[in-house]
Amino acid sequence: EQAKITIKMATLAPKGSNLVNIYEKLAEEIRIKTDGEVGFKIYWGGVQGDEKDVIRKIKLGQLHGGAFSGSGLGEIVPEVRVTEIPFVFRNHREVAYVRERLRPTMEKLFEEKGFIVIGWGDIGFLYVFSKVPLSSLEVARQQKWWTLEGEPIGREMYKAMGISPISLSVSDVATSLSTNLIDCASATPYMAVAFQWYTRFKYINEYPSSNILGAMVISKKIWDKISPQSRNIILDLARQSHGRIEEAARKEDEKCMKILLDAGIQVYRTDENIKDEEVQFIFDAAEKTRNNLVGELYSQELLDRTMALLDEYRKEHPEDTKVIRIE
Amino acid sequence: MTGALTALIVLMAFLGAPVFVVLSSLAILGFYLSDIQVAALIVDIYSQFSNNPVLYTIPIFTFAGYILAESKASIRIVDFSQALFGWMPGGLAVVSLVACAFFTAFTGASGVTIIALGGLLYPALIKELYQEKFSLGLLTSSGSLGLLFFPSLPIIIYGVVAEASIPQLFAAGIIPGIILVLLLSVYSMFKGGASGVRTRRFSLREAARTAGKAKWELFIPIMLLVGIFGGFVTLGEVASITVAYTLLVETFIHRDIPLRRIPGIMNESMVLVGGIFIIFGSALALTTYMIDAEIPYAMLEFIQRHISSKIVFLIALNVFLLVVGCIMDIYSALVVVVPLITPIAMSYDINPVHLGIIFLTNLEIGYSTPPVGMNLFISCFRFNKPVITLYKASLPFLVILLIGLVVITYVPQLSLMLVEYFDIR
Amino acid sequence: MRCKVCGLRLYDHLKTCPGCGTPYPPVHPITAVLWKIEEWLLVGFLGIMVSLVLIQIVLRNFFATGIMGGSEIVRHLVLWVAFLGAGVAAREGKHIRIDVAGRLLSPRFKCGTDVLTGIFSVVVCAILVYASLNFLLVDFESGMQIPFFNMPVWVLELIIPLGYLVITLRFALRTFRSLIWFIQGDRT
Ligand code: NA
Ligand code: NA
Repeated sequence: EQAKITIKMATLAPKGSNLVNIYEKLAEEIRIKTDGEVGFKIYWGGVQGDEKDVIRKIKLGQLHGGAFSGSGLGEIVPEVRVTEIPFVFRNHREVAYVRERLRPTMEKLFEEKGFIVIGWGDIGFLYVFSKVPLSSLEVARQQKWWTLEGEPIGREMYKAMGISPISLSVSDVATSLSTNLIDCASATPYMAVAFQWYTRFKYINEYPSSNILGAMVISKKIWDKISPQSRNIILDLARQSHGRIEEAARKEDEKCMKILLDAGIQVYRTDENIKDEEVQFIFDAAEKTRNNLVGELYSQELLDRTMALLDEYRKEHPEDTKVIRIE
Repeated sequence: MTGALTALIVLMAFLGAPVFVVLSSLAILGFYLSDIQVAALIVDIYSQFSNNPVLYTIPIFTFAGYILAESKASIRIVDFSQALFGWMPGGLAVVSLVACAFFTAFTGASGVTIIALGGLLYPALIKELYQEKFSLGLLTSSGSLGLLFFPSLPIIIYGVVAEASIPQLFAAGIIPGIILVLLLSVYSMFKGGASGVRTRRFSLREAARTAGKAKWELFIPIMLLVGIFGGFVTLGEVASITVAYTLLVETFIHRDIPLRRIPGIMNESMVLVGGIFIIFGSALALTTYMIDAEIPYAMLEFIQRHISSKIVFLIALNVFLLVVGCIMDIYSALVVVVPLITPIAMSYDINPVHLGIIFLTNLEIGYSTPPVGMNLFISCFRFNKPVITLYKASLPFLVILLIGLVVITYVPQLSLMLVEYFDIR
Repeated sequence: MRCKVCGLRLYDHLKTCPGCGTPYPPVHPITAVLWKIEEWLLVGFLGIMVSLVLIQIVLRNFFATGIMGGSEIVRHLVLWVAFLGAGVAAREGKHIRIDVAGRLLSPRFKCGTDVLTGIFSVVVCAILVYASLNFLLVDFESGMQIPFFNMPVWVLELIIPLGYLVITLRFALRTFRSLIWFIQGDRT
């Protein structure tokens, strides 16, 4: 039956995906536990448009919230992207440590912008997919790279690499691959499989570039209409399910990586094929990228704090030197 | 109140309000009823227009088509087809079919084919003693023949709206398109033989001479074929290269079009594009509302409850689309109906590429279906004949096209064969 | 309204009478200049669109580089070309209509229904102008940019309200004209 308050949420995740399944279960739990005060309507599969469109629609009152990746969240609070800088974090544990310590700061920033974060969850590491082996920078520069529309980190990174990418929304990547508008892309294994992009690629690089953040947010306007006890119930239930989402996302990525490799996508080994000075060039480009974004996305202070937190983790856990890569 | 407003909108539609106004008004009404700011309906218009990776090829291809239509390419193509097929009984009729199909592929059944080729082919058909009724019917129904061949705009629009692979659609259209041309050719040969029209002898020299004259235009399909399926360039690049090439050929090599005419052609072609795109925008807004109100899911449930077999669904779909095709123009029909039908058809396990071909064939036929098929009125205007004459004239052609439709609908392999054989993605 | 020479029903978007070729009275010089500007803008934007794609092909294949944000600007030009084209279509009365009744009605009666559909169209288009201005405001406040010379998105979106506005004004003018014809009746 109809709930008293219906919160309309959108996500790019397709129906039947783990994410949507968990959301639908969560929505049902919330409706029951709040005695029918709060219900959800979830628009999956990007039917409400890309993350940018969804944010526009939230501002215009057509939607009330959504599950976003870092780039969508960055449209609201640019600072949140400081943990998505490329070629810095070595593995999930490093990312989790830093993000957990920055969480209160970020949640405050969201509240200032009129949004409540219901729960955080990583989306996963991005890998480079290509149609030809990216054996040198020269070859890489001849490719047509996809970057997400209006995406500042991608823009700066490609600029530093000397590549002029083609920006498209997620929903248009498949078409663009089929009409050869693009031939290289960074994606999580899950994205590559769920959106059917992987059938167009032959190679995947062994090292990922950066870890994508995810979170579910709701506009404060509708949040304030909910009774305090129901808000607590929602936050409790959402926190629990976000733990599940993160775990599910990681498992899903592992499963999808296996699908990719089984489908014949070859792992391109950086260490064996790419010259050391070119690898160094990439790390320099990454450093340039994160410095160039100071002022646009985050303050120098926040960047320094992030790097300090990372150092802190590495000092506390000297045994954890594992760098994530495809085995 | 809602009922009265909806009735008013429907009345306005039938009294001749522009299609985009009608669709926008429905979207506005919907947004108003769901208590959403009306500005939200612009979000999807903006985002689809400025993000879609294929949409920008439409103005570019249309411009190329208009350059061809304005030049004397039509004469060269007809001469060459005449040299190839003129020896057959009903040869000139077959020539008309082939030439019209070539032109429609470029100009997208906007009536340009009938306007550009009608004046050339109609007197020629009458001179060779084809019956007036036959000639009229032939030209009217071939005005939309060729919709299934690349780089036809309706195919690209279907690809955009249904999010289907455009190279796959292009490949899928080839065999069904040829089947329709063949069916009409067989009928024309039969009619031509029966009314004793003159035939000419085949001459290799004549064929070579006319091919030499038309070689620049004949190269375009080859260029497109390589460009689209070769995989070196994007569809947008193929479109721009086609424009540059046709401009070069028609203004500098053949000198058919003076340079000062080009801005005029650009304007005329963009009037067509603007007219289609603004309808597309309104349809997007309406779709946004329908998704918000979860109407597609309700429809899906309703249809699944009442239709259980794929065959029955396909029959119902064909009947529905024929009705749509004869009251709406092809572009409005595509952008309004495709988003609703695609998810439903998927649930019946119909391949989206095959669905696209079914869709376009239906609408192609709808174009010359009485009472309000667009081509009937364009012919009416072009040949200065009463519309009733054209109704009667196009009837036999309709019957044949319907036979073609049945074959295309119930034998999906015809559409999917090339896609699968060449593994086109 | 009918042609003064041959009596055929006139369509106000045609340059000459389809029956006898009598030219229409010329438009006001200021209107003529505005029409020219509109047409040249359309030509310019389409020209830029095609050229940019061609330049990108050359840059990418021969110089392994490209124009930053080149593909975005091409895609945004679709908006400009489409709305300018739609504006010209409104000027020439070429917007697609279902128009079942129009073919059956007498010219006088048709003028009457044109007034009704005209008023309806003006109202709807005016709402669209209002809606697109509000939409523009959201993107103006968010300060979004495309990488092509860091152009703000709202500048590129200006054509949406502008295009709808031009169409609204043209529909209003046409409605007014139909009303006058309806009142005056057929003049032969
Ligand atoms: Na999109
Ligand atoms: Na029609």
